[in-house]
Amino acid sequence: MVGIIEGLVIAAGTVFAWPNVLFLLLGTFIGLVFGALPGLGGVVALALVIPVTFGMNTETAMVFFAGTLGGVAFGGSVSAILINVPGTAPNAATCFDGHPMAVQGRAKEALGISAMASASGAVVGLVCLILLIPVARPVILAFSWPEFFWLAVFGLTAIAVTSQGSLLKGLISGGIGLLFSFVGHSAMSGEVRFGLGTNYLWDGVQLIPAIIGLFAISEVIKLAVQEGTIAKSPTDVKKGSIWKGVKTVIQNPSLFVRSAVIGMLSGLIPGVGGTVANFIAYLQAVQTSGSNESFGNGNPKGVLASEASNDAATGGALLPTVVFGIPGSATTAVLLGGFILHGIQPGSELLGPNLPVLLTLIVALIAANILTSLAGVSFAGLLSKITMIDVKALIPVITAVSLVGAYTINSNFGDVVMAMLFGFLGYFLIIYQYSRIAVVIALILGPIAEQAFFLSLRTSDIGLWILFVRPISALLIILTIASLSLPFVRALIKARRA
Amino acid sequence: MTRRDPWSLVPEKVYELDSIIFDRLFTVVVLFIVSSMVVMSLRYTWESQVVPLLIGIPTLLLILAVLLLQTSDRINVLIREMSESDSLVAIQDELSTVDIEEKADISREQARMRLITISGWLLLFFGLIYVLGFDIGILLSLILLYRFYAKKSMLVSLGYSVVFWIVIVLIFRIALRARLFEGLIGIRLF
Repeated sequence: MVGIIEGLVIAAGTVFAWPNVLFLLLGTFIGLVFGALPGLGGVVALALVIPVTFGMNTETAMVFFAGTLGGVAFGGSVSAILINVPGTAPNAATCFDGHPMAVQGRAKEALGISAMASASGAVVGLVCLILLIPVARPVILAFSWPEFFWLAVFGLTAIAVTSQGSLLKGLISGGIGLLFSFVGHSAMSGEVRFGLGTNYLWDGVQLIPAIIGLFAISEVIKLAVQEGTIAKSPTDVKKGSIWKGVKTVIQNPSLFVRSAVIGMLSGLIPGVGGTVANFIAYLQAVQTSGSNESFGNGNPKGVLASEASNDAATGGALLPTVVFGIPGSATTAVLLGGFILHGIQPGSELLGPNLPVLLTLIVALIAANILTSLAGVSFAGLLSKITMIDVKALIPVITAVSLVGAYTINSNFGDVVMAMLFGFLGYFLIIYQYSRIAVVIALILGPIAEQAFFLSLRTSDIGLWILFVRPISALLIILTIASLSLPFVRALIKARRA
Repeated sequence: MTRRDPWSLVPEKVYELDSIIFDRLFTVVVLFIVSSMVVMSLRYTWESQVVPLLIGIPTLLLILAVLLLQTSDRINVLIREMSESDSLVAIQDELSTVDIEEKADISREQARMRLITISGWLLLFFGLIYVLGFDIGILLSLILLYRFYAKKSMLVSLGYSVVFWIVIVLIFRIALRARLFEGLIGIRLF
């Protein structure tokens, strides 16, 4: 451990040396912009940066990667809060309360929470990463298919929570999302399901175009029908302050720590990451809060939970990447490509002779997250003014960026069609009180749950029992049951007290 | 006991016929999609069909329940008569339509017109991109939207459109080196 601390001090010197600090700033700026633009996010930003680092020394390249990664999550929350369009999938839960806060004229407060929770969450995740490096292997190996299955099921319980206004329609939305998530090649049988005779659907419903449609395009339609400005009244935007948001994080230390730990642990598990973490963290925030009715209507704790978890997930996702070479998320998969470009092999080499390179990446990530959040706090006032612009001036540019973003992911025009279809579907889901969020949660978790279910059975000697007998599975089952029953228990206690 | 209007538990705005019809119509569309997927699932192998059926059938039943509650006056009357039970009122309230217009304080007619207008613009945007490609389609769409939808002056429309177009080109074409869709006529500016 002493060696790691010494290494961290040396890494800090490397990160802040010239010209590395310049690449840290540049990377952070790129990350912020790509995070805020729907459909782009960390994968695209890193894919852009990696070829540029060819010819750079390894440390400088790591600093550039870290800067880019650090800026993405907070950037994604900016668009989620201001225009209800999550810049990246892990920011989806930020929309639940972040955007209602912006509508109430509390955009600055929401951005303050996001900035503080993002930076602190990332620091927690990365500190955990440093602490876990020596014991990483057994922790990661403890998770197998049954645990993945229950983790996905636990995430799906968020549907019941996020559809409080209309549980029946929320469940239907979840069902539709799950069915859509099964479109395309079955991971188990290879059979194409619900392909409708088109090649496009062989790969299933693409998540990013679907999210762009459900949030960006449907938001465009909603804004066009409402007209005016996003914030209800021109004077409202002056209400609320950035510092109030920052203080919210400080005043809720236990919620923050719980969310960050959830994020970090979810990040550890390959294929889960921040996309699932933000829903689970949001779910626990609702379940453990005394006033869960205010969630979805601008409760600051909702923004806190989502942002702390998705940034902490970055640290978690790095662990399997550096220990096993198994990427914890799509972004770390691209990062792995960057490692290989610079001749760095994950595993014993990265944890041994190349440890200084890893520590440089970690310190740079911490610095980038703090830098991003400082930028967020500094510019929150300016950014919140977006909510005061006439929506008719915003609609053309949101539409243009969304459609280009949807196309760029796979260079397939079918994705643009998909985004448009999901856009109209999303609008009707809004006006008839179905839940867009439930559809997205189900789209993300459906394939994970199905694949984990079958792979659990295939690797089992005891049939279905494999899902119940492993200790971590049992813990996740208890958490799932507790999560579903807690609102009823709470209501019962309240009724008895009354 | 006097038979009362089954919709009396529902907020006043749902009295308008079109809202009731569209609400039910949407439920029918959702029902059609889900039932089609359930029927299609029956043709797949066991491994491919079991999870979609496990999800699809309960979803189908839930949609049928919603549709039944939306369409059956008898059930609504029953709920009305049993309205002492808060949970049943909650079910009925849950099924009522809450429109955007309620929050925005605009009339139903205005909301419908705006919805048709923006749908038209979005389809035009999509059509221009499909025919002319992203390079030209986006620039033209932005100009048209700013000039005729946002009703900005020609100069402002051109200014905004060109600036945003340059930003989009810089990010996607120059920085990302993305080869954007060139449209049916295959126009590529550079």
